[in-house]
Amino acid sequence: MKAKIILSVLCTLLTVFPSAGQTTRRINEIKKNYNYLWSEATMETTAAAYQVANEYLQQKVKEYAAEKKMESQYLTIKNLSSKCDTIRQPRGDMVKVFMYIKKVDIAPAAGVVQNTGTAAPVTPVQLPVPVTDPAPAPAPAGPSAPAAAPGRKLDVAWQQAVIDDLLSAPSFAEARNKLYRMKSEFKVKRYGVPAACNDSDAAFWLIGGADGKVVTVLGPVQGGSRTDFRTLSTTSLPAYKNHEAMWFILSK
Amino acid sequence: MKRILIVFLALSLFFPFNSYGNVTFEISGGLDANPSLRAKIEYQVSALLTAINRAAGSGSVVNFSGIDIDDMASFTIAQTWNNARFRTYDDEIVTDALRLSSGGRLKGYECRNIEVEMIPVDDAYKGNKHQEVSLQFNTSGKITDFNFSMSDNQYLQIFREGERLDDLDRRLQILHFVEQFRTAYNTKDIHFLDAIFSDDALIITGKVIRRINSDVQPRPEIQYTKQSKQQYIANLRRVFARNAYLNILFDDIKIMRHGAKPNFYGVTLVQHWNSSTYSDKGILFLVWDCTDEDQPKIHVRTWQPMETPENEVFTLSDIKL
Repeated sequence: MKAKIILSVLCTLLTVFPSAGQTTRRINEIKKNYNYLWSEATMETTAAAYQVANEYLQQKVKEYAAEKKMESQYLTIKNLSSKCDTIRQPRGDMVKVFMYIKKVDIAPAAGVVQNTGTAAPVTPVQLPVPVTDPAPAPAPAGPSAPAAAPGRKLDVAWQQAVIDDLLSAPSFAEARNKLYRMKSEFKVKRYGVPAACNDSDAAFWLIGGADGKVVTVLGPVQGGSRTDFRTLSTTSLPAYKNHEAMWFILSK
Repeated sequence: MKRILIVFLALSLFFPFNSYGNVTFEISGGLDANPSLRAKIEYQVSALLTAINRAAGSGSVVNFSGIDIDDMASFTIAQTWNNARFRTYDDEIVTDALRLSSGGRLKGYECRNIEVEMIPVDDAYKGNKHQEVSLQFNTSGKITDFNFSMSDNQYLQIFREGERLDDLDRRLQILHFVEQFRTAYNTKDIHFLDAIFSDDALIITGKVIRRINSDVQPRPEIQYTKQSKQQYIANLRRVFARNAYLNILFDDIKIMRHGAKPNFYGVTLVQHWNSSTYSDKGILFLVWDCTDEDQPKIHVRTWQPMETPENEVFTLSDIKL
């Protein structure tokens, strides 16, 4: 009789209080499941662990969105706080917070056509940002202007990567969207329409065609001519007088 | 008998059961394109963590036989074992594999966030019971490094800055160097420390001399002492000899790239020094030369007390390279 009572109590406790081993197994099942994105952090307090895990998860969502060719600024994570689950696990005198979200809950904002570049966004929706954002470290001093002789690629690899990214855009509208994203990533310092350009010679120019495609990207004036980064030849801005265009300045 | 079995079952279900036995390690992401390499790394780490748990349970040394691990990594584990043993929290561990790149070239992989519980050898240990370790692998899956990791928020901060300033690979490398540096102190690896400092390294230590002046609150006055590398290493040997254990923690890490010499980085961090005979907390500033990425060098090491006014904390602008 006593054994039956003990067994009953234990079974009740088992359903109410999952063991540490069960929590770990549950976490690991989610980690191994490709339908989820997850993150985890172990800190002194639950709040600190939650904040770090949340930021890690946002980073993973951003990478997933880029992989699926979703423009991150147009993402909305449907009710992120309600769809994003957490598991808390004590770790000695620390606390682990494990966060996860289903990939199906990561989707473009309503009204945005994904991956065609023909529809302008209705309203860009920003991903949730951390509560505390540390002051950025001073940007390192670097070369005063992108260095490259006309007709050649840029010497700085990341700057050339920006040009290549714009050239590979399926449409001029998509390339313009990329400029917006690159500005938020501090790769592009400023950009705008031709009427707003104060120093045409110092700027790069994104040139569009009548068919809505990207014709080329022109470099700043050097030695009286500009680089056409599509053909790696020299050219001038007046040659594209009746084309759609955007100017931009790269960060240093 | 039945009661004993029931109680035993209850205890094993409800109370934290830290592992002294077999560990299975799986990689959840980062090596999907190379299943054979993934399988090899999973096997290596499972074998290593199992060996560690068994050694912790039996009070013996870690047996590395059958594990593809290089001398540096096994030495680090063995040295750590002299001061404090450890075991994994879980018998099943799942984590991602991170690519380690340099200049666009794949150098290897890293698995982080492997949680361990420290088992002090004696009561003198004052460090955190919870630690995380990271393992690095070359492109063939051999274990090439073992380190106790920085905290998650430190890693995230460096990751964030690296993405913003587009030198993430280099910053993660420096983080790894700093983790190695810390591990070297904790394992009393004097040879590593001798090698990591350049021969003409500048080493400065600050000491507070408090003076009461006319201000309402006395302002700390700091006296600085300069040492050569030889003097510093000799002093360190004496410290290692008289302390049974060392547990150094690095916190609040900031990495600044030199504007004109992009291979040079200034690293400022808070160092928590805990040893058998002494504890303190101070601001450490290091200048790393990463010109040779496989053999970085420290050219400057300064230590200042926490009371140092912010505008007097050493930075890259104070150093002429």
